[in-house]
Amino acid sequence: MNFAVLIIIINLLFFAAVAFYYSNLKKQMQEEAKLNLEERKLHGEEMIYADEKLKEELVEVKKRANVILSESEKIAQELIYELESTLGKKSSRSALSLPGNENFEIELGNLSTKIKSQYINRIHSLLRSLERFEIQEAHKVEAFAEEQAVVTDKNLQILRVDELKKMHERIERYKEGEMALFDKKVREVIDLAAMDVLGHALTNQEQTELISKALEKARGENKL
Amino acid sequence: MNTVTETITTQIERELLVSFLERFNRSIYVASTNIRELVLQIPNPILAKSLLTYFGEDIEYKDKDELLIKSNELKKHLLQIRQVELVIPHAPTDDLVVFLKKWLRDTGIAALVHFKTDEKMIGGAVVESKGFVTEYSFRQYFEKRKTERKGEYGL
Repeated sequence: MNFAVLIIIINLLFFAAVAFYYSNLKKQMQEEAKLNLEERKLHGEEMIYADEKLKEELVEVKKRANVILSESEKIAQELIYELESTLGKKSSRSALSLPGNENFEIELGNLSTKIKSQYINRIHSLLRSLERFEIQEAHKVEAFAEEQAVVTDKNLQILRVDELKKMHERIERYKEGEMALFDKKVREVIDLAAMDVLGHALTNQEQTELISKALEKARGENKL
Repeated sequence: MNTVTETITTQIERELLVSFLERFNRSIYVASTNIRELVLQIPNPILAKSLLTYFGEDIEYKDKDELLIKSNELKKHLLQIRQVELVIPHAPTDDLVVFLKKWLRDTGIAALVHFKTDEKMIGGAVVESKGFVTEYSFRQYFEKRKTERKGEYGL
């Protein structure tokens, strides 16, 4: 009798131990699942944040590019306007006062319409090619952002987040370096266009007149 | 002496004239030299004529020592004429040299022009004289415009 009671008690203890073990196991699995869920959520948030950040950067890059393009165009347009105003004086051969700190007077009567359009075209073609460059860069960033949206693998996602960070750094460098280069190139081409087109368009007589002005200026300031 | 110096405008002309006077000094004591012919060999006929006026039309009959003294005086005078640097976009044309000759004469400025070229000037010139630099050119104009724009747009 006593032996039978002992067996029952041992069995009860065994079942209780098994129940406790499975209960703990279940609890542990639930916690792990919860942790996994949180981790996934965390990476998801990171991805969303990175994606949003990228979009903001992209907008900023485009905005900045447009501002520089617009300002460069403005500078070019002003120079073109001055040239056109000067050419308008062709028949009258009267001295033209160009705006500036010093009263820059010059006669450019013999500049032909062909030369004028050549000058304008040079500046416009440069601005167009630079604009194409900006658009190409923007497309690259857009394509990358689209690529991120379809990636689901967790490890790949982590890698992509790192790549996104690198991309942001690249955009920063792009903004600082490439934009400065872009700006410099616009200025250089305006200079080159002026040198190539205006320099060769001036006749010997006009060149002599300008040199005469330089000599008169030096003489007027008692520096000759 | 002034007749001779008035015929030259540029530093190169001075160098050529000084070089000629040195040859002249060496040649006048050589018995076989026809001094008059020597002067007339100068490519610039106006300069040759002015030299004959300076030394005397009867140069071949003049005393050699007297010619040497006059030649050295002229050389010394030429070397004392101050120089003005003129930086221009392209090589100087004959018309420009003629213009400068007249301009210097009209303004009474006793100087010789030394040309330098810099295509970036586009049009106009830089005048360097008496330690001063004066510029009046397209380059200067464009540079000013760019500087103004830089401040304005922060580019």
